[in-house]
Amino acid sequence: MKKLSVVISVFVGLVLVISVFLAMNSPSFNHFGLNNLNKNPVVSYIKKDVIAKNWTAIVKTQRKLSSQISGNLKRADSDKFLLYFLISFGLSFIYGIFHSLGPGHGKMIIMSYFLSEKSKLWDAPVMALQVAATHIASAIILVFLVNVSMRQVLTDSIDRIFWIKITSYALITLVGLVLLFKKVFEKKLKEKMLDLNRGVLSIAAGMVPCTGALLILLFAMANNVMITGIFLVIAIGLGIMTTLSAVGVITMLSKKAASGETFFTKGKNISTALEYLGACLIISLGAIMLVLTLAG
Amino acid sequence: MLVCAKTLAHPHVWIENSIVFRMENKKITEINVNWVYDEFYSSAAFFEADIDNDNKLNTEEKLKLLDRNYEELKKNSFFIHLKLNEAKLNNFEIKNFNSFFKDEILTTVFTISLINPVDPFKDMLIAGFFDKTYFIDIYFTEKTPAMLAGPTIEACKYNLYEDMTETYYYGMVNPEKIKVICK
Repeated sequence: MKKLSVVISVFVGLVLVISVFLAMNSPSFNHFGLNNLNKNPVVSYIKKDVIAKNWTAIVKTQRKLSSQISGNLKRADSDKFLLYFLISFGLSFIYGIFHSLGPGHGKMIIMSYFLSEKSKLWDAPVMALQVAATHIASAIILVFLVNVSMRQVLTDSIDRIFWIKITSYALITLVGLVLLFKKVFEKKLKEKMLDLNRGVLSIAAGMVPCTGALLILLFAMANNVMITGIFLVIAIGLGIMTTLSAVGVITMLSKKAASGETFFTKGKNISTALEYLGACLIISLGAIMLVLTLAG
Repeated sequence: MLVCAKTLAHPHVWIENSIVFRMENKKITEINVNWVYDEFYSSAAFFEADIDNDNKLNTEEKLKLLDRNYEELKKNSFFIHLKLNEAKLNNFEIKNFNSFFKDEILTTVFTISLINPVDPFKDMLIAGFFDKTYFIDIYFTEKTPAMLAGPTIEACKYNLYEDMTETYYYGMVNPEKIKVICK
């Protein structure tokens, strides 16, 4: 009973925090004056220095990389094919790292999962690979199997992406619920079951296609370098995987440090609380995104 | 074509922006806008517009491209954020809209016609162009982000700056804006 009340409290708290965060940045909440928080010079100063300044640099880097990739991709069928291909591959890999530093791409899901589960360090790159591979594969499938014949990749995709998103967020919520159920009732799931949970979560987190990959594939198609385009999209996927792996490893190490395996005597309690927090985060993320998508 | 904008984030599309403030009788009457899209988006837009797959756009395809671009941008208010001093300025019309491919790059031009011309010697006109969902990153070109055209421009200059009082996309981006100052 005590456990259940802790879970409910954490869950409600998370929903509130995420809702306020979303509200602060939503134009529809402008009448509450929440958006005006940004006008506070102190807040503005902190945001510019810590977040916005770095973000501006990340976006400018992405812009330059994108331009260089397209330039190289155009030249990829010339005499120096291998050179241009290798440069493009490297640039695409770096682009993937920078691109996935922004919101989305499953970082929160990976973080929450490794908070909620006892995992080995190796699990982080495995899960990151699963998410990145699904993310890129869904873009390739969308371009090849669904829309090419209709030549409405960008416009027609919207309806399909809507349903992919609904499925993705519903699955994330479901897996979160399974993980929470396991914790509350102390069910010991077999290792295979845990792998299945992680697999479903990875696919759910990655199944919304990467628009960047989609645009590169269309560009490659237009320039008759489709195979090269697919390799570059794979390079982007590897870049995304690198970022996600780092997020997973950092989460695991932070959890270990916070749970006091080295510093705190009451380590087990903190570790258990973090595991509840992780499961609740997964449910909150899935549910909130589901509601927001359905609400349009 | 920009229909995905509301559902997917980060910049996935880049637009290089340059503008011209046109003055008549010491007042700003129009802003000419010139947008150059990135190669990836241009290519995807061409792919979608080229319905008969002959690698060129016929008149019908060009018109469809134009209509679709206009309607999608209209839905997003052309990503225009104008201010007169501190107040929002919504009293304008879009004229001379055109969308075309130049050297395989999609270019869109249009004119913001101010219903009530602005006297820059009395009031400050501030122009920003940004997509709050951040699917598109509209940035002022480094070389010549803006120009002033018409008489009395000697007394005026423009200032490109990042508006620190406004943020979007989870508080991570400050919009770039241009203000006209005349003395």
